Amino acid sequence: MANIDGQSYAFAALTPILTGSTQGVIHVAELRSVLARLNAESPSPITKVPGTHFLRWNIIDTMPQLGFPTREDPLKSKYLLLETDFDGDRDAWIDGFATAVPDLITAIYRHCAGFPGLNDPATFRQYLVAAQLDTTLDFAPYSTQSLDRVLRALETQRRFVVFARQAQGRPDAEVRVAFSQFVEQLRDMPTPPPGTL
Amino acid sequence: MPNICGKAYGFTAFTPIKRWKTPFVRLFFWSVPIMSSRFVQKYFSWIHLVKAQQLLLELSFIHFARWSIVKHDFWPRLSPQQPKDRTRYDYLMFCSNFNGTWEQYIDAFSQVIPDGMNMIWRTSEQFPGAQPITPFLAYIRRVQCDCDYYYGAYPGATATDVRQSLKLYEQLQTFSARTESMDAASFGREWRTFVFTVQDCLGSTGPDPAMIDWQEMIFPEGRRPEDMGPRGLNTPRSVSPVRTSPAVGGGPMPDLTGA
Repeated sequence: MANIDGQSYAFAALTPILTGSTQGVIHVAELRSVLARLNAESPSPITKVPGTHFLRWNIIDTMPQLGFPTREDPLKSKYLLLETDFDGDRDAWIDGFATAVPDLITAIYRHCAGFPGLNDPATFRQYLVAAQLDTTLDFAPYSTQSLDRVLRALETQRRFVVFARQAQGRPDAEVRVAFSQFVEQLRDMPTPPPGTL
Repeated sequence: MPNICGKAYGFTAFTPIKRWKTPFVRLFFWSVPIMSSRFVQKYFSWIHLVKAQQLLLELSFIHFARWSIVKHDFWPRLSPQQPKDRTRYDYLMFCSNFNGTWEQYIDAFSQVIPDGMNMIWRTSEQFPGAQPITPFLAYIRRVQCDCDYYYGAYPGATATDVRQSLKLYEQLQTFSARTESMDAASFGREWRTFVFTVQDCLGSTGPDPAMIDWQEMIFPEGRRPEDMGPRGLNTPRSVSPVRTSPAVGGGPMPDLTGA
């Protein structure tokens, strides 16, 4: 299946946004406002969602209208596109997503039609799966590498550049000892949190 | 800007396709993994189409990208109150996470793999072709859908940084295991060879250069070239700035208001 490449999963879901307003709150405007506020949050709450490499939300007002000779093609509803690349299994990721950022999910998806709430994780999973858009072709050059491994590799690279620079011109015996210590430090190094590199 | 997260840019586009063309688009996407297989690339790379597909998959500035076909009757109806959408066209959705600016990305696509671009989007309505670039850019602007929120787990790293660091990470583990019991002299020789081998993996992560305040870095404390003398940054401190006559533009502006 094109959704899976290596150990990476490419997930996309198009959920219809509620039309009109409820108690004076215009759903699409409020949703835009929630997402705009989310941009200002640092660190992003998505850092708590395990194994997430990239994630985006787009509000789709309408499909592109290219004009003559292409005919008009309006949508009756606006849609929220969730598009993400993560490690491992889809269902496990959705459960982790619901557990890690329940308030955020509620704030966003309560403006979408049919949102079942998060009382039962299985219902929310079914909700997103029902809206899933399958990938036709996925391109992921390092799809066999988990997020943890990528973060560790990047931190290793950062430290190694410093070490290699300091080791220049030093006697071999000194570099030998320093390298052993350096390897020990790398082994004990905690995985850097997502969003920090 | 929500399309940008550190060094990554989140690009999303929808292009309309006439329904009868959709099976051909599917067939093309189905053929990509086959055509990019080692066997086909080795023996059939003289075929233009095969070569173009490999170039497409070798783009070094993409973290993740995907194409999805949104069928005209796909649009989910998740509540009975919500009207069912059926579009006149099918749509090709393209989502990409890449490094650099929007213009650099589209420009690279247009210059490096115009055939790959044409193969993918030639079935899309009003697609002008990847070259010349001006109508291509205008088309992309019309079909792009901006992100409302965009997140990346390693915003300071480019796709090349990630690939280089993974290579370094692997080679460092091998080197460490191999040299564990070596004496200092042998280790020294091996170390120098190793550093030489991994020199293309020594990139650096960090803020996007486009986002750094270069003005402040180059001219700290608000100093400007005109404060630094006739040779700008290279002017030694002992050389005083050249004084020019007010008549040729130096000195305070004459009061022309008559006040």
